This record gives sequence, structure tokens and C-alpha cells, in this order.
Amino acid sequence: MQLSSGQRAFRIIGGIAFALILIVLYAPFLIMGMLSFAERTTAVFPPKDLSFISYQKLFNPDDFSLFRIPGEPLVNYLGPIKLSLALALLTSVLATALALMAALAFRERFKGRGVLFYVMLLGMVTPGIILGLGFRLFADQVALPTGWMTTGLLTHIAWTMPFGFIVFLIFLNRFDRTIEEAASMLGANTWTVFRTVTLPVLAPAVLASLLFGFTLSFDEIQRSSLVLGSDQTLPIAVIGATTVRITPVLYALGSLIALFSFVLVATYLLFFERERQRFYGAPTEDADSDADDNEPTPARRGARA
Amino acid sequence: MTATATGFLELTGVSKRYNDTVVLKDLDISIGQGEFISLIGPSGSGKTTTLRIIAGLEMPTAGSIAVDGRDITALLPNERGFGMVFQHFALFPHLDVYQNVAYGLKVRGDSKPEIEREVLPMLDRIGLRPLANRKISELSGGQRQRVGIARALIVRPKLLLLDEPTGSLDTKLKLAMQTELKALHEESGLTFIHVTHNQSEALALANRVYVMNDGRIEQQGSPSQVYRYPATRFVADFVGRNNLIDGEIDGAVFRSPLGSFPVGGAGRALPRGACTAVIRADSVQVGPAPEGAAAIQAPLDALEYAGSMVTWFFGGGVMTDVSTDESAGLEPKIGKTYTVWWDPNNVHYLSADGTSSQGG
Amino acid sequence: MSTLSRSLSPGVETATVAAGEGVNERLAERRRNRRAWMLLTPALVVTAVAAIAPLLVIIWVSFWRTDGLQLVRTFDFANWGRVLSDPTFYRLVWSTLRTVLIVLALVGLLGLVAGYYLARYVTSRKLQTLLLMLAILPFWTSYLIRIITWQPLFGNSGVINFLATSVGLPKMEMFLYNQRAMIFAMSSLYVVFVIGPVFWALSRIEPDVIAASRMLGASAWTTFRTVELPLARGGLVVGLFFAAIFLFGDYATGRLIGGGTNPMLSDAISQYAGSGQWPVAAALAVVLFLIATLVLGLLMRVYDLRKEL
Repeated sequence: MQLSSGQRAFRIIGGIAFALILIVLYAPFLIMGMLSFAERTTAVFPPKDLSFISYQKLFNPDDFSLFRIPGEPLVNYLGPIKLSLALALLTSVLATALALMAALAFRERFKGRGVLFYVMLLGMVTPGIILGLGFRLFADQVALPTGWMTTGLLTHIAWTMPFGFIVFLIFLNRFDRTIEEAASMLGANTWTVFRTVTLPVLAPAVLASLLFGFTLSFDEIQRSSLVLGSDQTLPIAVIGATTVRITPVLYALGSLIALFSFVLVATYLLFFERERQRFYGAPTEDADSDADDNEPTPARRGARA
Repeated sequence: MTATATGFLELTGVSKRYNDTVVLKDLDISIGQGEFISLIGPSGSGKTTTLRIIAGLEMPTAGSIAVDGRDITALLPNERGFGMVFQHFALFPHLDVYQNVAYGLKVRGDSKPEIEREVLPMLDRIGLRPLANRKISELSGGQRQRVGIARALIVRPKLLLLDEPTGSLDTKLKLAMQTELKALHEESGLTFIHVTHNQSEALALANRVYVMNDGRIEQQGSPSQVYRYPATRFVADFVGRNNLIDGEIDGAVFRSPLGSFPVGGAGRALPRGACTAVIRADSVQVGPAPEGAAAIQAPLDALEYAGSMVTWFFGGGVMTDVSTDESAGLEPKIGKTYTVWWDPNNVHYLSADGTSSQGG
Repeated sequence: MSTLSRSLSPGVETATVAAGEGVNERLAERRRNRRAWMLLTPALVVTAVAAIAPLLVIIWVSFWRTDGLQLVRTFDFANWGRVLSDPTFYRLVWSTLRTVLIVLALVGLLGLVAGYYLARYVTSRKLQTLLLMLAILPFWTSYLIRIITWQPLFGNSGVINFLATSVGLPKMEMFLYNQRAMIFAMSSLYVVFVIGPVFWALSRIEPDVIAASRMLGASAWTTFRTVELPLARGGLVVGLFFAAIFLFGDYATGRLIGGGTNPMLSDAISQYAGSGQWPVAAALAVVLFLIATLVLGLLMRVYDLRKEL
């Protein structure tokens, strides 16, 4: 199509805007990577005296011989990293299980379905600081001990579960329930249908939910600051460290986390694309031209939120 | 049908309501072992719901379903041992062709070699053995439906339910699939229950059809019975292409706004008084009427071309199907008046209260 | 079961049929209902404990008082009176609302431009996918990690100033420890929420629809305004909705990048809570909840997000 002058102008403006957004999004990671090799300070660019010492410090926080800069804070990130990993793993698995169960329930019509849909999202839409404060006060009232395994885990599940719930609803609304009916006609009972048909077909959604749960929990700070008691997750440790002094060790840590996240998400996206192709064919063949639906079956009319 | 043919599957007084909408009204269906039954009707007539109730995918609001005299109304679909073929195939997208066909056996707990012994011949039978490891997304519509049928048949179901099995296929594949279904029915000796809105498919495949409308059975019988002697105005309109002319029978004469015609067919039981004459479109002729025929003079209103046939629509509401060649020979002109005639012996009369004059 | 169903056969008195009507149907219905509730219960329990209870407790605590360091469990309006008579409170509310609205506007505009550009002006499918991935990938990385690089990027001896001075420009102190910095940082953090949904909404539009509009003589701009924008509205609102969810509770960006120059309610709540001033924190939290509900509710009014499910 012939572009008008306005469109040509937009092509330039839009291109620049897009490029700027990408720069603003990725420059920090680049800078962080560079500064993680700085030996002393991060406040000066370009970094002088490059070395791997920050990474050494990160992994050997007890080796005091490494910390030679006067006034340098001795921060041990290893404990918080382990705790955050454990919390994120537990959160993602439990939140995904609960979200999947709830989303499956929402395929049926039951009383209170409309209101409960909003209730299910409450943990996500309420500003995090409010839930952090509220849950802390609630725990005090009912004498629930604060800590990552108790209040921390509950808060994190309440926070990440709605994301998984939404992911599952989106998938289930596009899920052809007649394949479940076909399975039951072939002799499969409810549990077998779930195990051999529903769950495998929902695998990409399960992984998406796990990913949401893991990354959102691993990064959580709005709620965590008030409910973890004496336990320290990584974000809490990081924000604590920034109030003292930002050292290159923090950037070494940040670089590794960013690298880890990118690899994790890229792997997921590759898997997702493979699954999508497995079910729906290669992207080139634009299949799925549903023939006219003369008489939609009740299952096809299906549950819509 | 004969008495021995009934009694295998019995639906008694089956009704279905969704909230306030009544979908099925007090249905009685009786099907014999080995029959090929078609449920036909327009969309919304309740035929799919009936099939789903037989399958156990829906529960009836009232009434019961029995197989071989045993009540199965409360059984779940997986406890009934029926097979089902779906309109949109409903194949498992995460499994390949082999695994799809093997699914029922695997669920049953058969061993791997046992499964293989069953599945491979079945794949041979439907001609898909070379594609055993294909993904479902790589199959054509016809291949998908064959996998769907094989998957249902492999567990040797007591009966096979087919929900618009050719509904998602194009015309050419449709005919091939019909031939295949017919062959499979004869080979397997199974009872087939088939739902379609396509009356010609039902007439071609079934040995008995149930015509449904608005949640009720309008008529049941052999295809030729239903085709030649529709029991109600609805059936006459839905099955085949018929001219419906309202009038009344007065002795040996049928009086209508179009004119008075002999009723024909000596010795037939005819309704009295107000009734509707049903005249098949293909039995109406254009041209000079022979002695004893029912004839009218009518202007040609419109022509409709459909492949090898042309339908002529005349003033007064009479239509006739003429082959394209014949039509071309007649050089039709819109607005011109023609002589249109039919044999009174081919006319079927419906009394005004909806009952048919003809038993068969 | 079988005898029961048998008795439902016609021939039996109609009254009996009516009484026993739909036993199986109702049983199936009840079975489905029970299963739905069983599946739902664990999620509801967690939500009740970790979301509903906290909200109720906050309302309750906002009516308490602090007497020095002592917490007094009363039920009166003294705490609310104190909060509402403090001019700082109104400044907090105003600055929260203003910041959120400005950031949402910026993020919406940027996301729309970027998403539209990606959907309509990047013709290579591979490049499109790659750029989309790049645009949404940062969402999955630590947000805290992203903001702690702000200082070396925009600080006095940071990268920007290094680049600026090395090409002979004067030093800039625009983007650290002021309100502009905070808004800029927040926009860059949350724009990722908008680009993806806008792109998906736009790519779902049938090319025929756009072609039809152009065939009818509409200019590209008119087509955008009358066809594409209304159809992309869903994606835009989804993005803004999620951006708003994160924005309202985000106290760290304001503290680390804004330098506390423009405190938001979230930051104030965190600080009051940190110093044991629970009733004040709770009152502010109630207010923040109302504001958030208002803004999110307005977004839902513009477009019902359930349609995107």
C-alpha cells in the first residue's frame, strides 16, 4: 500500500519511540553488567580497575580478605537468595495448583460465580503495600507467627495466584470441551480425563502460571517488607543494601539474576512455541477454519467468565 | 419396522429443560439392534440434545433410557460403553494418530502389545497406517474424521453415536464419508445413531429416520415412507421438496384456490374436509397436460439454478424441479403463462388437524 | 436407581412423574456444583486469609489510636480526625493521584505508539516477534534490579553525564532525585505492560476490516481513530490496568529514584508502618484502597476486561 505523508512521518516517529523504549529498557542491564566488573565504586562511569572481585565477594561473603575497601558494607546475599528461591518455588507450585483448581471450577455455573470472580482477583488488584500492612496487622491479631514459611508464603500465593487464574481462564475459554467428552465416551473417568487430556492440553498454561508465580514472588517487595518478620528475601536485602551504599557486588548479583531470568523466560517461550506448533500446526499454515456451527453443543456454548 | 427390530435402546418419556426453555418434550424412541437410525431436523429441533442424552453427556429432566432392558439413565458417559463421533472431530491435539486411536484401549488398561494388535489393523482399515505418527494438525478434515471414527470403534462399543459426522467436511468428502459410514455399518453390524440436519444424508444412510421439530418427534419410519408420505406439514416441508396446497376434499374432487382437481388414487383412504395436498416438486410437469391430469395455467415468477436442476416458481405458489437440459429446451420466460400439471395419483393429502391420510 | 427410573415411565400417574421429575438431572447438577466448590475452596481460603481479612483489619485498625508508642485499641474517630486535618494528607493524596495519572497517560501513549508501530510498520514476522519479545522480556526480570541501575545511569558522574560531557554538553541533573526522575523511571518500568496487549489487540484485527475502511475513502488517521483505536481499546485498558496495579503499591521507586521529593501514599504507609504508627498507616491504606478502586473501576468502565478472557 502507498504510504501517505502522515504514515511516513509516523514510521519515523514510531521507530524512534520504539528504539528509545528499547534503549531505556535495556541500557540499565548493559550498564549493570559493565559496573559489576568495577572494583570499587559504581558511581563513576566508565568503571576503572576492572576485575571479577565483585562476583567473588558475592559467592564468598565470609571471606573477609576480599573486602578491603574502607567502609564497605559486608552484605551476605547467599542466605536471602536461597530463601527467595525456596519461597518462589513453593509459591509458584502452590499458586498454580490453586489457580488451576479455581479456574476449572469456573467452567461450571454455580451460585455466586459472578461475585467470586472478583473475589479471586482481590489479592492481585489491591495495592501491595495495603495487603502487606493488613496481613501483618491481621497476623498480629490472630498470633500467627510471621516468617517466610507462614505469612510470607500466604501473601505470595494470594498475590500470584490471580495471575495464574487469569492465564487458565484465558486458556480454558478457548478449550474445546468436546475432547473431554470424547475421552469420557471412551471410558475415561473424571480423574483420567483430567490427567490424560485436560492437563496435557493445558501444559503451556501451567508453565506460564508457574513462571508468573516464580518471577512475581522472586521479585516481590511491596507486600514482603512487612510480613516476613526477621526473614530476609533477596529484594528486601537489596533494598536494605541500597539505603546503605550501592556497591559493585549488588551489580554482580543483579547481572546474574537478569541473566537467569532471561534464560528462564527464553526457554519458556521456546517451549511455548513448540507446544503451540504441536497442537495447532506450524505458524505458516493458517488452519483452524471452523466450519459453520449449525447447532453448538452445550459444551461449546461453554462457561464464559 | 418389524417388531424384532425394536427394543435394544429405549428412550421413554424423555424431556429436557434448560432453566425455562423446553428442549425435548416427552420423547419416545425405540431402536433395534443393528439399525442405522438418523435423527433429522432443523437446528434447535433437539436432535443433538437427544444424542447427548443417549451418550450420557446430558441428563434428561424426565424420562428414562434403557439398553437391553437395563435402565442406564443414571450412568455416566464412561460407564455406558457407547462410542461417539463428533462433528468437529474432537481429536486429542496433544496425541498423534496412533495414540488417538489407542486412547480407549489405554484407558481400559490394555497392555502395549495388545493395543498394537488392535490399533494397527484398525489404521489399515481406515487407510491411515502410513500416517500413524502424524500430528492431528497435519491431517485433512476427512482424515481427521476417519481417526475419530476409528477411535470410537476400536473399543467395540455397544452402539455408535454420530453427531453431524460430515458437518465439517466439504461436499465431495461428505459423499465419500457417507459411503464409508454405510460400509462400516454393514461390516460391524453395530447400531448406529446419527444426527444430521441434512435430510438427503439421512435418507441415503439410515434404515429408519426420526424427524424432529421443536423438541418433538414429528414422524418416524423408513426413509421412503417419510419421503413419500410425510405425516405432518412440517415433515412435508422439511423432507424433500414439496408443493403444499391448502384446500378441501369434496367427494372425488380436491378444491383449492388454484382450482379443482380429481383426487385420484381409487381406493385410497382420504381425509375429509379441509386438508393440504402435498405434491413433490419433481413430479410437477410443464407442458401440455395428458388426459386425467390435474392442470393449472400459471405465470412463471422466477427461476432458480442449482447445478443440474432448475426450479421454476409459478404464480399461485407452485414450484417444479426441471433438469437443466429440459429447462433450456423449454426456453423459460418470466411472466409468460404455462400449463403446469401433475398426476393426481402422486398427490399425498394431509388432513387439517395434521394427521396423514397414508399409512404406507 | 433402576426401579426409581422405571417408575418414571409414562403410564404412571402424571402426579408421580412431576414429583420425581429430574432426579438424575438434579443429582448431576448437585455433583457438578459440589465439585466446583471443592475445587474453589483452597483458593478462596487463601484469598480470605491473605486478602479479605487484611482489608477488614485495616479498616478496623484505622479507628485505633497511638498514645506515644502505645497502641490503643479503641473505636473512635480521633485517628481519622488527625489524618484528615493534616494538610500533608491532602498533599499525599494529590501527589499520588497526579503521579499515577501522569504515568498512566505516558505509558498509554508510549505503549500505543510502540504497539501500533510494531503491529503495522514492522512487516517482517520474525523481526516483529523478536521486537515484541524484547519489549516484554524486562517484565520478567527483577524490577528492583532495574531501578538500582538508575543512579549509575543518571547520576552526577553516571553514564548519561559521561556521554554528555564527552561530546561537550553540559552536565544534566534532570533524572535523579526529583519528581521528573520518578515519573520517567516509573514510565520506563511499566510501559512493558501496555506494548504487548496493544500489539495483540491490533494484530487480532482482520486486515480486511482495515482494507474496507481505506476502500471507503478513510485516511490512515481516520482509520486509526475510528477503527483501530476502538478495537485496540481492550489491549490498552489491559495494559493500563496492570500498570496501575503495580503503580499504586510501588513505594520503592519513589524512594530510590524520586529521593522522597514527592512521596506517594504507598511510601508514606510504608514509613508510618515502619515506625509503628499503625493506625495512621491503616487510615492511609484505606484511602489508597479507595483511590485504587476508583481508578481501576474507571478503567473497567472504559472497557470490561472480562471480554479479554
